[in-house]
Amino acid sequence: MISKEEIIRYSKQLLLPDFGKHGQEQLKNAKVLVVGAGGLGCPVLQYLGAAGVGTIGIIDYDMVDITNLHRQVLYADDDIGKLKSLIASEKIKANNPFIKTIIYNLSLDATNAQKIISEYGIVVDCSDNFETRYLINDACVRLNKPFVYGGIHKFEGQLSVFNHQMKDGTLSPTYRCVFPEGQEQEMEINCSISGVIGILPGIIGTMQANEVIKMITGIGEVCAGKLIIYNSLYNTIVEMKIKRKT
Amino acid sequence: MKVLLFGVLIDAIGEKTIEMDTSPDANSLKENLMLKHPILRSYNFVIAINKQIDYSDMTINEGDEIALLPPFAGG
Repeated sequence: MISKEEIIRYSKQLLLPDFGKHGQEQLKNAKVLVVGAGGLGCPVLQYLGAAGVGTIGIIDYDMVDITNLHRQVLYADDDIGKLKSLIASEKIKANNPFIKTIIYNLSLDATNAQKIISEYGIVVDCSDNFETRYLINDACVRLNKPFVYGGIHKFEGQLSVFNHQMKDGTLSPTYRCVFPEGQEQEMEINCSISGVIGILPGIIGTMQANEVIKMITGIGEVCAGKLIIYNSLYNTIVEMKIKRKT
Repeated sequence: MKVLLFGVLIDAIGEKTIEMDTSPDANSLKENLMLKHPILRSYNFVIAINKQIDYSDMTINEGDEIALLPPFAGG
């Protein structure tokens, strides 16, 4: 049940006929894990918190650095040197005291991934390396959890919802269905190396948060079974069809 | 045959598109790509034909839209 205060707080989204009080209650009861509180994680956390997702887990072991501030807009100059997970939690709860956060000041790895992810209904992959992305994929597949993938490179971003139960009961493709782990010497290039304008992770992260809201409330069509590639220089979106490998 | 590049592959080749001789299927295209641009051997990517990611050595026809998709690490 949502309180009178919450009804006022969320009144503008409650106005939406497809969403309404039921949608708000679904958000309140939802548990979402955000892996990485960086460029993608900041907008995901901000919008999910503001929208009223009841329980939000935040995984990040890193501290705020001055070079983060142009894109990781949850953090202020005064936060430099402080733990991202802690500051992100404080900021989103300051925006919305009705939500609960669970802070994980650690690196997701093979020893803890399954235990942590099992506590949540949806995982949002806001990580910045392939090892964590495959780890999230494998744990989610084992635990039968959906996860929202976002990735960026320079002016391009990718988005897809993996391992999501479709309306016909089948599961959508996984990260490994699209990108099998290569035998090649992997060229792992993150934002710190390739450069990024802060707005791109803002856009892709906001799209990830939007998918989470749709998954929880059942409105619209989830971005599953396809990989979206957005280019911020030319405002183009390319949609690639993907299939689940058995 | 024009091949669209994305992400790190644009950095590797220095172009957004490359011209290739027509290949009959996805596997032979991959082999030809590696021969013409050996740097691609260092990258993990998948081939998409007409916006469908290749899973089973799909046939390539004249005029098909070909793209090479790497995963994006950044977040």
